[in-house]
Amino acid sequence: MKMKLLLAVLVAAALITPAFGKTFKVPDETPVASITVPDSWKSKEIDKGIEAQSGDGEVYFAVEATDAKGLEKTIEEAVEYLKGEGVTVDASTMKQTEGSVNGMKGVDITWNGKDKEGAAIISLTVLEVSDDAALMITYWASPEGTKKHDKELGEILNSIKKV
Amino acid sequence: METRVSRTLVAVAIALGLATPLLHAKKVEFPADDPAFTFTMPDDWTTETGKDGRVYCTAPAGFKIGIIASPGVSDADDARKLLTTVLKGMADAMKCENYKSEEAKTNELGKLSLVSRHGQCKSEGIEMALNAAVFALEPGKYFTIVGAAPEKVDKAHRKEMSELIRSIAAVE
Repeated sequence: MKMKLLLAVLVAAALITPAFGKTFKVPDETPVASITVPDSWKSKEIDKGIEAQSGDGEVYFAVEATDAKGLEKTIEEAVEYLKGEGVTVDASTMKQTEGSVNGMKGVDITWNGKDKEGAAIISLTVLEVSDDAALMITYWASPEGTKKHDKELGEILNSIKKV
Repeated sequence: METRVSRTLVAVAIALGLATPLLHAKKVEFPADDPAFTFTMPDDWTTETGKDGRVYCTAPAGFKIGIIASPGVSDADDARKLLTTVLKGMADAMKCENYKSEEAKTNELGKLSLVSRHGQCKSEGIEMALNAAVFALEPGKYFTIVGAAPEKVDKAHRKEMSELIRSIAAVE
């Protein structure tokens, strides 16, 4: 009976936290944070973090480590990347929200915009990891993709942790 | 109604709300590597850490619970769905007969928001109690406590479980 009880609890645990995905350190060599991305997403390490795209290509995001001095440059690079991909934003739709993720205070700025395939949602989020380290999340997705992957995106966001 | 409610972890916690705290209890951080909350459990209980920071607590009589982070839960509706899946999963794992469960119940316990569900079944001729409760210490960050035991053993540990749940406190 004890084995059955143990098995029941182990099965319950497995049902609660099914294998969610791969965990990356951000950045890989001198990590300040970690993030888990579902296996079904295409993920790869970039210079100071990772970028990932949903399997259907509807959602893209990048998470990069930066610091107070480098934040402005990181934002400029993200904006340049989005411009290079043909993404434009409607400045009048800008929404700024503040919040926290796993104890990290953050600011998010979201716009509606367009890309080569139509309507898009774009956001830049900065999370304060410590006094001298931050994460910048660049998000670019179709409205449909945002809705479809809402739950996974919530899980990805909740997986971001300081290390 | 009172009787049915008292079968759940949450209701027991509330029913015993004025019980004296355990005289001998040890504090456990969860998860160990980056604590989100602490809880206390009797000194003679032991803990094991599993995959993804899960903690399994075992009482000397073999009563065992699991405490698990639940990143797939983002609201109370998710919690109710998860509880349905978890209780049925536990019953199936024990090859139970006559599985039945009560409706999920939602409670506030101090700063703790809980959704709990109780199930029953028979395994090897023994009446079993299946319990699971999903709770959040802050919006969107959920954890689950699960346990399966013979009814008699479950009943014998209700006060301890009540104390354990009441002791859950966020790590600032």
